[in-house]
Amino acid sequence: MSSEAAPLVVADDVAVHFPARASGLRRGRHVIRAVDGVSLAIRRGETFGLVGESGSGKSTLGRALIGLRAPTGGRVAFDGTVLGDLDARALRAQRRRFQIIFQDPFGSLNPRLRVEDLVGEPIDLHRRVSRADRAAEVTALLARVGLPPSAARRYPHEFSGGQRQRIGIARALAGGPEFVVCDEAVSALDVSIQAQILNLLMELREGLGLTLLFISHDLAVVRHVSHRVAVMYLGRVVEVGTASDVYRLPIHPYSRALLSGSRVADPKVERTRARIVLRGDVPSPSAPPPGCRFHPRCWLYERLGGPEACRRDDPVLVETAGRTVACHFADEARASDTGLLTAQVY
Amino acid sequence: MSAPLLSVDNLTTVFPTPAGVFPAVDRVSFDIARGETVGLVGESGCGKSMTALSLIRLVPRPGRLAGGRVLLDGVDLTAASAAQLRQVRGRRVGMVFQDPMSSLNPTLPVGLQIAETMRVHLGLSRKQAHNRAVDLLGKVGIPDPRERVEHYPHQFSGGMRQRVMIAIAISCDPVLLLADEATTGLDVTIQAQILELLAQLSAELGTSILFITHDLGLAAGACDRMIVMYAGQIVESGVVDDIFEQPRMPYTRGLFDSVPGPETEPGSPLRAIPGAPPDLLHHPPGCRFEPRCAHVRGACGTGAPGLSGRGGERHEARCFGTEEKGWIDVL
Repeated sequence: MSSEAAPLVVADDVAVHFPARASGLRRGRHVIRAVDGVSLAIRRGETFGLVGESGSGKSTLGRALIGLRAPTGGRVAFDGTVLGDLDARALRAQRRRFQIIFQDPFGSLNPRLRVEDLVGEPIDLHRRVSRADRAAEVTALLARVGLPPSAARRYPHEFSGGQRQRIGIARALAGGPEFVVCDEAVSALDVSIQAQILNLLMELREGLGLTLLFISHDLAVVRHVSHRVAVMYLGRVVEVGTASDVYRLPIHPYSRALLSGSRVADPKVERTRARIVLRGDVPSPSAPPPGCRFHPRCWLYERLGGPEACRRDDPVLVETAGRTVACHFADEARASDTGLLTAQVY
Repeated sequence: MSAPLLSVDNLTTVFPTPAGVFPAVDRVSFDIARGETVGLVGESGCGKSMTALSLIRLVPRPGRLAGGRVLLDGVDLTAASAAQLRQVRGRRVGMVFQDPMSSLNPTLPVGLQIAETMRVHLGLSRKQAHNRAVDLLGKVGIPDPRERVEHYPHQFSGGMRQRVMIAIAISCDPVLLLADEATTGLDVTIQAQILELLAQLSAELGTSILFITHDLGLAAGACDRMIVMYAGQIVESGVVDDIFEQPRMPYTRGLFDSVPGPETEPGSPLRAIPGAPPDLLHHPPGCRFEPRCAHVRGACGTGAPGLSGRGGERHEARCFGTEEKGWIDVL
C-alpha cells in the first residue's frame, strides 16, 4: 500500500447528534453528541484502526461512514461521492461497495435462514443471477472464508461462534465491497478463535484489495492489523498517525493514558511499565466539558498548572511530522516524560 | 511455609443432562496463599467460572458438587452448614461476577445495597454503613459518591455498576476475593483504576485474589501465579513468569501465540490454534487437547496424561510430550 494512495472514504467535520430525553424528573430534551466534528481520510487499501473507550463515538462514526447513520452535520464522501447528496435509489446502488461486520455473530444472522440464503441475499439485492450461478457464488464465498460447501444447507445455530463470524464475513463480502467496517468483529470470540478470524480478515484485505475500518477496544489487536490508527475521546478524534508511531510514542495526553492502561501478555514487560491512571470518569457526551474535552482528566493540564487555553479553547487537529494531534500543548506532550515505556511494548 | 489460605483438593462438579453426566469441573486441585493473586485462565466453557462457583457452593442447578474438598483456613466448605456458608459468602470471601445488572437489586439505591452487606456482616450502624458506602464508591472511582450513593442501579452505566459490585465485594475486608471477569467489560483506563485499587487492597490487608479471566494481559500484569484450564481440567499451573517464559503444555503456548504480544510482527499471521474446544459430553479418550495439538504422538490419543511437576517453582503441566522422557523440548 502506498501512503500516497487516494483516500477512499473522507469524513469532513462529521457530527452525529442524538436527541435524548433527560431521565428522571428533570424534563426537557438534550442532545447526545456521539460524534462531534470528526474529519479523517481513509486511504484505499489500508486498514484504519479506530480506538477509544465506550461512548467515545467510534461505532457511531463507523456507521456514519457507510451511510447507516446520516450525519447531523458535516459530510461523508465515498470515492469522491458525497453520500448525503445521493437520493435513496442512488445510495442503494452505492451500498454494495461498503459493508459492515458486527460483533455479535448470534444476533446479526437471521436464525430462520439457511446459510445459502444469508450469504446469497446480498447477491440477489445487487444483481440478477440464475439459481445455479448464485449457488456457485455462495460456495465460492464460503470457501473464501474457510467453510465447507456443506455449510450452505445449514442454519446459523448449527455453527460455533467463530464459524458464525465467518458466515457474517461471507455475507459482508457477497456484494463485492471495497470498504468494510469491522465493528468489534472479533471481540466476542475466544482468543484461539479470534486469531483465526483476524488471520482471515488480514488475508481477505490483501487478497481482495479491501479497505478496512477496524473498530475495537482491544489495543493489541488494533496494533496488529492496522496501518494507521485514530484515537477517539468523547466524540472527537484526538490523534491520528501510523500505528507504529502512535503506539510507540502516543502524543496526546489521552492517547498516552489509554495506551499505558492496556495490558500485554508478558509479565516482564508488565512489571517495568508505568501506568498513567486517570482520575474520574468519561464525562457525558450530552454535556462535554468546555475547551478541551479532556482537560478535567488530563495529567498534562495538571502538570502545566492548569493553563487557561485548555479550559477555554477547543483544540483542533494539527499535523506535525506525519502525526495529527488535537492538543494545545502537543509539543510539551511530545517532550514530557511520563515514565511510560510504551516503546518497549509496541 | 504456613498453610495456604485456600486449599482445593480434587474438586469435581457435574451436570446431569439427557445425554449423560458431564463433569464441568474435573478433579481440580490448587492452593492460594495469603496475599497471593492467582489467575485462573481459559476460554469459554473450560470450567473456570464453575470452579469459582463451586468453591463457595453456588453451583446452579442441576449441577452439583460430586467430590473433593475446599478448605478455607482449615474449614471444609464442602461440608459447611448453611449458617457457616453465610459467614463465608460476602464476609470472608468477596465475589464479583461478570453480570452486574442481574446481581444488583433494581429497586434499591446502590448505597443501601453496599451498606446492607456491612450491616449484616460487620454489625455497623446505619450511619456508619452509609458513610463507608460513600467512601467505597469513591475508592472504586465513581465521581460524586455522596450524591451517587442515593442512585438506583439503572442510573449507572454498565462499567459503573461493575464498580458498585466491586465496592460491595471489598466492603467487609474479605480474606479472599473471587473476581470472575470482574474488569472485562470495563474500559482500559477504568480497568487500570480498579486493578490498582485491588492491588493496594491486597498489599494493605493481605487479601488473596482469584482472577477468573480469559485475558492473558491481566494474568501477566496482575497475578503472581496462574492456572490454565482446558475442557474442565487444570492443564498447567505455576508462577506467571515461568509459564509465560516456558509453557510446558501446548495449549498454553497456543493461547499465548493467539494474541498479538510485544514481540509479534504487526500484520503477520497469528499462530491460531486450529479447530474448536471439544464437545463437553464427548471428551477425547486420551489427552483432551489431542485433536488440536501440533505435537501429538501415539500415546496422546489413548492414555490421559496427569498433572506432574516441571522443574520451576510449583510448575505443573498435563502433557506427555513435556514429561521427563517426553519429545517436546521447547514450546
